[in-house]
Amino acid sequence: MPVDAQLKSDIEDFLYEEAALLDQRRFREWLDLWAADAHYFMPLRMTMASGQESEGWTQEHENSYFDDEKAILEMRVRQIETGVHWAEEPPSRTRHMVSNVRVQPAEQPGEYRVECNFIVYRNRMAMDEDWWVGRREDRLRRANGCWMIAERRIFLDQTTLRSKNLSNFF
Amino acid sequence: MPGDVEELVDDERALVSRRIFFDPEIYELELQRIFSRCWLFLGHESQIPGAGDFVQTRMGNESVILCRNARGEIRAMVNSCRHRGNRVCWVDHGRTTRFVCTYHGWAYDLDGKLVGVPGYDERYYGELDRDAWGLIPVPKVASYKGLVFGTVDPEAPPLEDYLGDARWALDYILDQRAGGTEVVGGVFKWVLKSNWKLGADNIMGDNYHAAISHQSGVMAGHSTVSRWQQRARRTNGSSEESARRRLGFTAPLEWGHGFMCDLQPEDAQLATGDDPLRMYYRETYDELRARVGDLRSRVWKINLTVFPNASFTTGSNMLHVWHPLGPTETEIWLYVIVDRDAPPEVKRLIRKGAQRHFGPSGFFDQDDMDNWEQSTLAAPGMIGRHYPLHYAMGLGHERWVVDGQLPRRIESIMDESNQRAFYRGWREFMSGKSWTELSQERAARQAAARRDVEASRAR
Repeated sequence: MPVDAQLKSDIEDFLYEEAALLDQRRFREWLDLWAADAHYFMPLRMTMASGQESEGWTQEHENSYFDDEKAILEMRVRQIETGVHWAEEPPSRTRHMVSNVRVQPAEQPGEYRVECNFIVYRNRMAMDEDWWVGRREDRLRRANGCWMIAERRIFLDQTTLRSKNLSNFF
Repeated sequence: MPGDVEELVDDERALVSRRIFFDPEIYELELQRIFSRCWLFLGHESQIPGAGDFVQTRMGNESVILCRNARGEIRAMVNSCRHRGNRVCWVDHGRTTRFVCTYHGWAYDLDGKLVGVPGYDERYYGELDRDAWGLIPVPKVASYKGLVFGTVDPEAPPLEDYLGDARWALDYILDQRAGGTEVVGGVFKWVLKSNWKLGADNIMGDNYHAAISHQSGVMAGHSTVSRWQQRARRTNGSSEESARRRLGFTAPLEWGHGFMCDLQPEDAQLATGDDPLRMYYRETYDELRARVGDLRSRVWKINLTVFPNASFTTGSNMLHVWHPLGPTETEIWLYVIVDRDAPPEVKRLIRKGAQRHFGPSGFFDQDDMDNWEQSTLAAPGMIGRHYPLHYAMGLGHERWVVDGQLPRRIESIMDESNQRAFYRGWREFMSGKSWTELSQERAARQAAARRDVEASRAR
């Protein structure tokens, strides 16, 4: 059931603003978009045969790249702010592209399930380049006239990571 | 080349040539003289619990299938069809009865035996000797308390001999509870543009880098949440005082192995607190002490590298394996090891802490990656390549202790003696000497060391 066009447009605008905050490295303002009970999750992916693709993601009790409460996201921002986090010092240049946005109402009133595709490009120092491509499942919550991110599940289209780290937010 | 190789590591002055971190010829020699001769970590038994289970793993730059055959025996074979070389296993892991090549359909069983050849009678006239064309087996595969190792070299000593005194450290990791260990599902795998040796020598011997490389993680408030540190965190007084009273030593071993160990003082108390981890450690403490002994029950942390490329860090329950992709590229595989019998909540807390510590998203590992990458990028510089790297911290100041309680060790919380042991081992294997010759030289060294100790006692 497609949602109201205005609602979808509002949500897209929110996602674009969020992406801009990340690319401008305004991490504190980005953190303010996250609900207090937020969960940020990114499982590992493995190559499996047809028919077994569902087993190609690590489960909740298994290893993941991110399984973070808001406090951990804040700790990651603090690490960047120290100025001595060598993975991000000198700072990376990122570009977050968000597209293919699909919106559905969630179970809770005022919450929406938002799926999108993303490309995050990172350029570092002289010639260091990384591309991450994948899909996100967000749960957004409308509160006090603002959008908040209650949950983000990130599904990368890589098994072995081609990058030396994941020091950026998705 | 053999003569050259000996010069690349200067034992006396503890200098190492930058060439060994970028030279393609040296890399090719490493694949032959190190990765094709030493025991290499293949996987944990818990990854292949039942008959037919398999996982794709790596030895050096070779893709290897690790599996359990129909009788439940562990087998390892090269993942390459004997006909035209195509890989016969393309998925990460699974369960099967056959590996079938997608090119011409040759089929192999879980022992690597060639059991199916399309057109065997009509096209090969029944003449193909199937017994001679099975998947290349890894000739020696052995398990040490759940860790599966393999070696390409049939002359290699038994695994336990090869591990030697590294077992003192490994037993601490693997033997804590009667149920042994398992690995948490999912192996972190990522590519770093650096030479494989930088990680291996760092984990086993580098206490020096933590204050600078990892300061951002500490400043941000990250700390490891691990079973061993928690268990040993029996604090007396402030944590600064506790740190001051910890006893540190390095154990540079044979074959290039080595580990650093911190022990809590004898009067330290068992950790208090009623979070699930601390409760678990208190409840299992007596079992731990009965199994690994009083001394090892006081371990604060151990960082160990089993030469060439398997590095264990007890402070985060993890194992890094540094797989070489080329002279300046490494594929890092990272496992989380837990007690099999730990409750799910304990495993969850350990896993969360571990993946936040090391790995591509880890507060600590991230900062090592750029350092190693930039070191590797600099190595082939046309000017810099002629200047050796410095590994001499503590050289000549070693306070050796040989008391039979622990492996022969150096009392030190910070030096580069373990890195020196790693590159001595590297040079030994790169010399091309046989296992027999190397074993004889090793025995002579140990005899000389014993004589030195006796002489110093006599004085």
